[in-house]
Amino acid sequence: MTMATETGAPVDTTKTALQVTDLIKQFGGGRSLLGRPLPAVHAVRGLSFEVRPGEILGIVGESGCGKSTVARMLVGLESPTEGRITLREEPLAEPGKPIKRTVLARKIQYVFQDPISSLNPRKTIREILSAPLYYLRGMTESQRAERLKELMAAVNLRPEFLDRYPHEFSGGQAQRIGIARALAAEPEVLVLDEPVSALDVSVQAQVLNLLQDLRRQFNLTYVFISHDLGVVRNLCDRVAVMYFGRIVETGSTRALFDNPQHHYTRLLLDSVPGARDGTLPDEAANAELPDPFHPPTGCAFAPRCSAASEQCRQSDPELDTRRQDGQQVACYHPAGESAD
Amino acid sequence: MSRFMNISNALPLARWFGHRHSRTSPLQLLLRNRLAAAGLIVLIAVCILALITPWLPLHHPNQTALGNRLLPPGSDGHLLGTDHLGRDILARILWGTRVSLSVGISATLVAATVGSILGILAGYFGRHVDNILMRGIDMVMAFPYILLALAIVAVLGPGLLNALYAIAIVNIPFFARNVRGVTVTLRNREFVDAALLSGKGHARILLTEILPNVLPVIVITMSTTVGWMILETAGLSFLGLGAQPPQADLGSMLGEGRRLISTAPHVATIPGLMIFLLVMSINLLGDGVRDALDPRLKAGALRRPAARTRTAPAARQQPTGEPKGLLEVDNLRTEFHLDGQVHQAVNGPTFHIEPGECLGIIGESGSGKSVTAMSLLGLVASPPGIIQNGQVNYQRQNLLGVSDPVLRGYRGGELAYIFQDPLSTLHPLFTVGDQLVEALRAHRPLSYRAAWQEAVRRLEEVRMPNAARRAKSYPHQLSGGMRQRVSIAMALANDPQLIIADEPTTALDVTVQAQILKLLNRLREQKQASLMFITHDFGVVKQICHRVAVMYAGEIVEIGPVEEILARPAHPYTRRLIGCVPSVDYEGGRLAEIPGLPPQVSNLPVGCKFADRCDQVTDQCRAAPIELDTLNERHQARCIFAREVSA
Ligand SMILES: Nc1ncnc2c1ncn2[C@@H]1O[C@H](COP(=O)(O)OP(=O)(O)OP(=O)(O)O)[C@@H](O)[C@H]1O
Ligand code: SF4
Ligand code: SF4
Ligand SMILES: [Mg+2]
Repeated sequence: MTMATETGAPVDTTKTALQVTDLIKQFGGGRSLLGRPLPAVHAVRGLSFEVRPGEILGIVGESGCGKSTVARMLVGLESPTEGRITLREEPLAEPGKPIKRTVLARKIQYVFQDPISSLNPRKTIREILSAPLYYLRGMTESQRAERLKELMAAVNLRPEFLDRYPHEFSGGQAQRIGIARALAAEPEVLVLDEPVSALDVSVQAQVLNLLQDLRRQFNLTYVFISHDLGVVRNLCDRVAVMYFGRIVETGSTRALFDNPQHHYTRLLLDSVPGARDGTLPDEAANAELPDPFHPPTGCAFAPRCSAASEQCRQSDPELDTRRQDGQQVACYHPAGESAD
Repeated sequence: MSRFMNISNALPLARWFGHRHSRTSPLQLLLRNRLAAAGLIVLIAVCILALITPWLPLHHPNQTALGNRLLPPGSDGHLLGTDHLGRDILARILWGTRVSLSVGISATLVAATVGSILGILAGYFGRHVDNILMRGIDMVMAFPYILLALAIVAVLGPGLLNALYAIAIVNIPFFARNVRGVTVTLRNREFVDAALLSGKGHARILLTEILPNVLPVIVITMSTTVGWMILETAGLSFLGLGAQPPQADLGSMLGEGRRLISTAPHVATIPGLMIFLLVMSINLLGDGVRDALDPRLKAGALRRPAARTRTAPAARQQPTGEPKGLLEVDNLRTEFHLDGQVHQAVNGPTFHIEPGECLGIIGESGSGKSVTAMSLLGLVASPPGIIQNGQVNYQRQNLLGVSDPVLRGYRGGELAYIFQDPLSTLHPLFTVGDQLVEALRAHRPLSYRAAWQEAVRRLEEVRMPNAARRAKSYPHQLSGGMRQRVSIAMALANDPQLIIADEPTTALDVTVQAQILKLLNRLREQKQASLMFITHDFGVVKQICHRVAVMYAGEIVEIGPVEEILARPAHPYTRRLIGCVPSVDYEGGRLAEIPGLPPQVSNLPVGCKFADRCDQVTDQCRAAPIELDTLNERHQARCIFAREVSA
């Protein structure tokens, strides 16, 4: 079944493009050279989600919640400690198996947060964009020349820019080059990690519109990571909210923004300045994330949650299907229930 | 000592090196440096002499003539005299220089190659590779290096080649450490990940992405160590462990001459002078190379900026009438003079702040918000900043013209700042409590104990959880939100009349931002202070500001009450800036983008600065500067169509 999404692009709701199952990532751990056990950071603590072909899945959450770690695992820059990632039922990453990076890079590509830092200062744009064409697509010199022109046109940059160096570009232009590089590999899925957070709003709008156009033009699927809820609401078809290495709520963008169920989702939305009813949540005494070296046994949000009960502190709630339209929430006492 | 220089954080260097279109090339910079140029000339002369030595009409360097022993310089047929075996010193010095130079340079190349490979591998692969390689390097460095060199020669046996190895080995750590440091910084840059995702393998990334960025560091390290290596080789030969008789090198000649220093001083003096000349010229050149490739490392480059922005006389005049509001800014103009260009960062904003009011300053990056705020109390770095014109009137004085002590008294006292990055204002080595105590005692005579109690009270006021204990924490032990609370407490320590907050929440998460905004607003109300709040977020403006000034290319293009401007923006830029912000409250469909980029402040147009991006532009807009048009008593806009648009 194909249906138009909120953002108007066709999404095949019967198929799954990307599937992530029980993903776990720990940094550190293991033993030192002298055999002492080392502390481990629990960055991602059991994460499952799927992305349908042609869809934009937004992942929101605050710094340190593990968004970037998930993104880096999706493209093979990190390998999962546990769990599986599959693309159209084909395994991409499994624990213990080496990452086949070139295979992966032809299917999933990444757009970086800092556009300038992701371009080598000593290489021309031509050299930077040619690398994926040569190493991943095996194109000849003349094929590459042709494709470079197409890529520059796709991201609205003049072909003369090909022979310039990264420092000669503004942030917005550099980010378009970063997008062009990701497109050069002809991937099915783009993982975008805060691609517009370093840009000014007027330039941000240019890049977001470009991303919309490219998705239609090349039938792309996006995983879009952001902490800007306004951007997510306007770009994404579905949203997953992360807190401390887990997804606490997921659903269609409209359902999630209009009827948030998890207390953390509510707090996030209420905290956006100048929005909603215009009052900000109270100045809480404790706004700290739990210690990633010693994750709590119960709900990680309990210390900040006004609805927390003994049950919440004892065990961590699982994602539950709440409604027919697939909104899921990991909470013992969802906020929407009494209000419904 | 230059050889112990550490260039591990030479990141701007790498960036700098990418500027192939920069105005002055490194070579030009080098030649402009007189000492380095002199060193280069001497070195070239010595090298040419050493190269052509075999073809010069000289005596054989090892040919003894006991009848001609110890002839003084200037003797017939022996320009520089002879040594204790009657050998011609001129011939020996030239051949010896040849040997010393080639050994020194070879040792440098060996050390540079091996050290750089180790450093790049350790820095790139990290973890166990790094651990093992760098532990090894540390072990080598644990010995005084001349002792180590002696030990190596003792094991390998004396001889020039073994001396070369010894010198190369003891110098490997310098290269390995410098190169590793730069590589670690580069490894963490995203372009390395990007190259991995472009299908490049590790070997290719090391060679084509990392190495070109590390090369300048290798060159700098080489140019600053080669002189030392020549000296060290000479040292080993001097001790009889390097060149073996009858072969001459500068060190062995010096060693042989040492015994005759009283009877025939020239035998030792001449090789001594040659060593001096050689090492001196190489080191001068090396320092020049370093300065040209990385200006930050230049001696004296760490100049402290002036304590106060340079201010032109035009900006120092005292106000004539009664200033408006608590603080009045009139026609402020701040420029940066860089590389012969004038960057007009602030172009005459005029505004005032009422007591108890929150004035927002909004604009995109580069629009001059921060420079405006920092100009008020002379906090713009000079050079390159200079305040050319304007007045900042507070209590009937122009702050741009008051004396330094008066200005210092206001800073952190009645007029306080909060910055985006609290770490830039907090000292990493003192507890936050001590820093608050210091801020309190700078403006008030308080005992330490009383000040500490006051500091804890101030931390409680900003709702720092567990304030008494947290006062003993160091800044790095606190989260971003807590640090920003500390810097707010510091700003409020002396009950300011005006708080200038420069994007204090931009680096924070949305839930933490909400708390800081609430906190600032509550404190402003409680203390009856004014707040000047710089931001690029209309949501923040709507949340806490009474009036807002919109800046573009250093000018205020619109100023007025927040509700009025949000509901009826009069300037096309304001309208479109509001239009391109995606809202959390509804789906807006396609975003309304503003095409193009703001103009460069080094080359501003005469007329409306927004003209190139404006869809209503007419010829009249570009003809002459556009004045602020008063729409009503409180609302002004800088557009010729402002009245029609807002109507
Ligand atoms: N290489 C690493 N080694 C150790 N800890 C790490 C590493 N990378 C991430 N972490 C930790 O993992 C957790 C999640 O980090 P991650 O970078 O994914 O967060 P994020 O949501 O992307 O944050 P931000 O928005 O600031 O980028 C954090 O506690 C972080 O400190
Ligand atoms: S599970 Fe309990 S503590 Fe966690 S969000 Fe729900 S109500 Fe709050
Ligand atoms: S003055 Fe002209 S160019 Fe400038 S904003 Fe107004 S209409 Fe546009
Ligand atoms: Mg991140």
